[in-house]
Amino acid sequence: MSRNLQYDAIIAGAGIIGASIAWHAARKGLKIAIIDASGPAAAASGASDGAVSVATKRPGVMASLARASLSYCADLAEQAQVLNGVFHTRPSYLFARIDAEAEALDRLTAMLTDQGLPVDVMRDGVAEKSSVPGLGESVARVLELSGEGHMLGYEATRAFLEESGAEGHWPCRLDAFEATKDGVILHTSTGEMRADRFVLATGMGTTNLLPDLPLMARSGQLIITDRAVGNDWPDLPGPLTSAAYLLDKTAQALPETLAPVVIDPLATGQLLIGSSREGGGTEEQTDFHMARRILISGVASLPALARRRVIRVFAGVRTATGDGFPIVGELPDMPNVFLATGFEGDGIGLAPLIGREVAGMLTGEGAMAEVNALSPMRFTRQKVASQ
Amino acid sequence: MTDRRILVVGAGPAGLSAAATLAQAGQRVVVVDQAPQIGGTVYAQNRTGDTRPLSHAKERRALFDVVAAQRERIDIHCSTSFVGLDYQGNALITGADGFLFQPKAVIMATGARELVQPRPGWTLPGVTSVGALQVDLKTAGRPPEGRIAIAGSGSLLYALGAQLTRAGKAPAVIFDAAHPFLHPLATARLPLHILQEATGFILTLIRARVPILSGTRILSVEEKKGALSLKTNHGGRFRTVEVDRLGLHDGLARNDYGLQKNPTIPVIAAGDCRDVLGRFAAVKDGNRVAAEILNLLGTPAPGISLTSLNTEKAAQRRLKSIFAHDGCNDLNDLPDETILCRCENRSVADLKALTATDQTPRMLRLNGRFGMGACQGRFCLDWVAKLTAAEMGSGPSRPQRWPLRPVLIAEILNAADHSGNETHIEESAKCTFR
Ligand SMILES: Cc1cc2nc3c(=O)[nH]c(=O)nc-3n(C[C@H](O)[C@H](O)[C@H](O)COP(=O)(O)OP(=O)(O)OC[C@H]3O[C@@H](n4cnc5c(N)ncnc54)[C@H](O)[C@@H]3O)c2cc1C
Ligand SMILES: Cc1cc2nc3c(=O)[nH]c(=O)nc-3n(C[C@H](O)[C@H](O)[C@H](O)COP(=O)(O)OP(=O)(O)OC[C@H]3O[C@@H](n4cnc5c(N)ncnc54)[C@H](O)[C@@H]3O)c2cc1C
Repeated sequence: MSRNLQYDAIIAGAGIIGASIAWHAARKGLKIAIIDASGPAAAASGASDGAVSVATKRPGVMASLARASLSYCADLAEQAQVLNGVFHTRPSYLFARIDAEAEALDRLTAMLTDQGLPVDVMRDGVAEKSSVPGLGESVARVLELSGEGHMLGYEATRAFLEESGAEGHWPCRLDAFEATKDGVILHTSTGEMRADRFVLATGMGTTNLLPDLPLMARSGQLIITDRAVGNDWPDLPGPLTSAAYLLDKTAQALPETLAPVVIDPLATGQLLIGSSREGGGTEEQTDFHMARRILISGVASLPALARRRVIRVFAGVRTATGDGFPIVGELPDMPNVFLATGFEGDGIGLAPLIGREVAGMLTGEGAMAEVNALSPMRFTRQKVASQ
Repeated sequence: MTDRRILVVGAGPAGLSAAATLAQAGQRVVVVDQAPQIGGTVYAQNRTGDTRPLSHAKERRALFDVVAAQRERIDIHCSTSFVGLDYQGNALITGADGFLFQPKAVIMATGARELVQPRPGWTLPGVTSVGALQVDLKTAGRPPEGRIAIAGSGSLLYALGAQLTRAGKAPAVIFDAAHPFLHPLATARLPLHILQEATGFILTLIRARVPILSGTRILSVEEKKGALSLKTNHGGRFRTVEVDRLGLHDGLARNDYGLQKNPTIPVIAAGDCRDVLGRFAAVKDGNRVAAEILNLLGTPAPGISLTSLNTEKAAQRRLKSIFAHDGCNDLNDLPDETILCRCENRSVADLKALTATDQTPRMLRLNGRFGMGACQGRFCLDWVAKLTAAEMGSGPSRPQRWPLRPVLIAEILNAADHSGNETHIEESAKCTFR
């Protein structure tokens, strides 16, 4: 790139998506700066669960992106090393308590075989026969999968940033940007910056910059427990997820004891129990009624949970889109400005793949078909405006 | 649905006097305290069956009498903890009496936080805070076994020293980082009640020949043959002392846990929780905050004279100057292996190993794990903030979220819902575990 600007590309947003783009673009030899209004993993990427899952994705584009990213995660952990010690595969358990959930498990099993996903059904049957001890009486069936993965959003963000060698600027808030024929000019809280190309990976913060995009907040409350002491806790080698997550949103209006819940064992011995999916919401908003709803369902599926202590409750905000698909690609009326947001509940799992593909867009190599399908062009009728 | 009652958290002098003032004005009050009895840090009763005379018996009776006169309007729950307030204004109370309700205001009267600065060996068994030794003495009714050293700084070193002596167990030694006896002028200007109490402590200690070594710091603690070996520094002279127990105390700080602004109801701190001014000021501050709440609720409030509060404030300033010193230890000189966060077992070396990417308060918590353990930073964040001030300015902020303490999931679910916005808990989902 020859126009001798400060940077080949600037990325706004140091969440997992921005960090992954920074690492991939730097590997391609681009000179990168990454800015963030507060700092790395300041929003959703630092307040989420870390499931790198294929089984819980909708069949079609999302499942196929998830599959591609899952196997790419393993490459980044083993060959490229950047996610070494950050990404792990582990068994995962989906359980059904009612018929609708059991039917969802049947559909899932069919999808896993039909689409040849890298996830295998290790065991499927009644709760007593599963390898998770101590399940509640209401749990009728457990599907045990192998091949799914886990990585913590903030650990991956840190690894990508550190290994990228990109120049980090925080706190530095992007207030406005313009695409000129001499590159993109950013107006930030710490001054003006220029680059050939610009990527907006600002999660929910994107709404302030591009108010016409159909983005909405969908917050989730998460609960962290103490570490298990002694052996009164059943060994749980992977997350225990209710199949209610596979049901569509109307079917999720279940009674308290059946509410969707994930009980996820962390490497520290703590449990992460989550998470709600609420319209709107902010990081400050956690409430006892929702926490109790999640915990009631959790205790019903794994009674020993009642003896653990909660040490922390927090909320993260997912960035959802009108049609349920992320938005990735060059803005229609703004050359050299790229967007990567709207990952709702899938951004941790998808970040490695999205980073690679957006870096390809930045160098002009282009991206795979499934990612091109996520282009903001699909909203052109709604006219995307800047600022 | 907003309850008609006001919640007071903490049944120490501040909480009790606030509750009494509110009740006198016709309000209904719920007081919760996690301790088994009311009274707070100074006035809580000894274990039942203990017949020794109580210290501060007169002050205590005066306070309890005002509360007793209003018992119809004050609903007191002991062995019951306030877990937190959510953004909708619901308060979760767990323990002996668990419930969830929406008070119309909250007074936080949870007392001060005791500071203990990290030093090599401060997490060894046998080393506790001075406050914990005081609580042990009170609840067990007798002093601990073995030789006891008390170290750090602040008037509490002498209070505990005298209390142990009066209980028949004079401490082996007191190490004070400051030089409190080199300030006769400031001391002479302390209010009479403080001076009398202090003189009493010192006389007790002198009569029992307790060595008081001022200007002396504890550099490290090691375990040697079942005892604690303390390495001390007195202006460049080093000594080693052997004891069995060590009480550390580096001052008191206000307690801002659980004090986030709530969008729905007023939340106001009172007593030591707001500003560490001692037990006399706490009573007065309770009255003052109660009046403030009454004003906010638009009901007639009694006029509160602030004169005595200001006197206590001036006295505390003087005490501070008497006990002033340039740090119990230089934090920057702590050896790498010194533990900073005992919940997550994070050391000075772990803090130093954080990378440029981690130099934000958020990453310090997420990647550094500082403040992420069971205590949520209550004990380590002050020191981590000081150590990282150069890189991060304000340093890590205290996470303002519930629960204030780790809380059993069974207790969260068993709390009766009086919020009027009931989570319908089916019988089958209730936990039998307590
Ligand atoms: C409760 C919960 C559970 C989840 N569980 C999973 C899971 O199990 N698996 C999974 O794959 N995904 C999960 N997710 C989703 C995942 O966390 C997100 O999709 C992902 O973190 C999005 O990353 P991001 O980088 O796009 O956005 P963010 O992490 O939100 O980052 C955006 C960044 O942009 C910055 N920013 C915003 N505006 C500006 C501005 N004007 N100038 C400068 N900087 C700005 C912010 O400070 C922030 O750091 C979960 C999310 C939540 C909330
Ligand atoms: C360790 C320590 C030792 C002290 N020793 C002395 C001394 O010897 N002599 C002296 O004059 N002063 C002493 N003080 C100072 C004295 O305690 C205060 O000045 C005075 O008690 C302040 O009154 P208060 O009502 O503000 O708080 P406190 O008397 O401390 O009362 C606070 C109450 O709140 C309760 N509480 C806290 N959190 C919760 C929760 N989440 N849920 C339910 N209840 C809760 C506590 O159990 C406690 O009973 C000491 C202080 C400390 C911290």
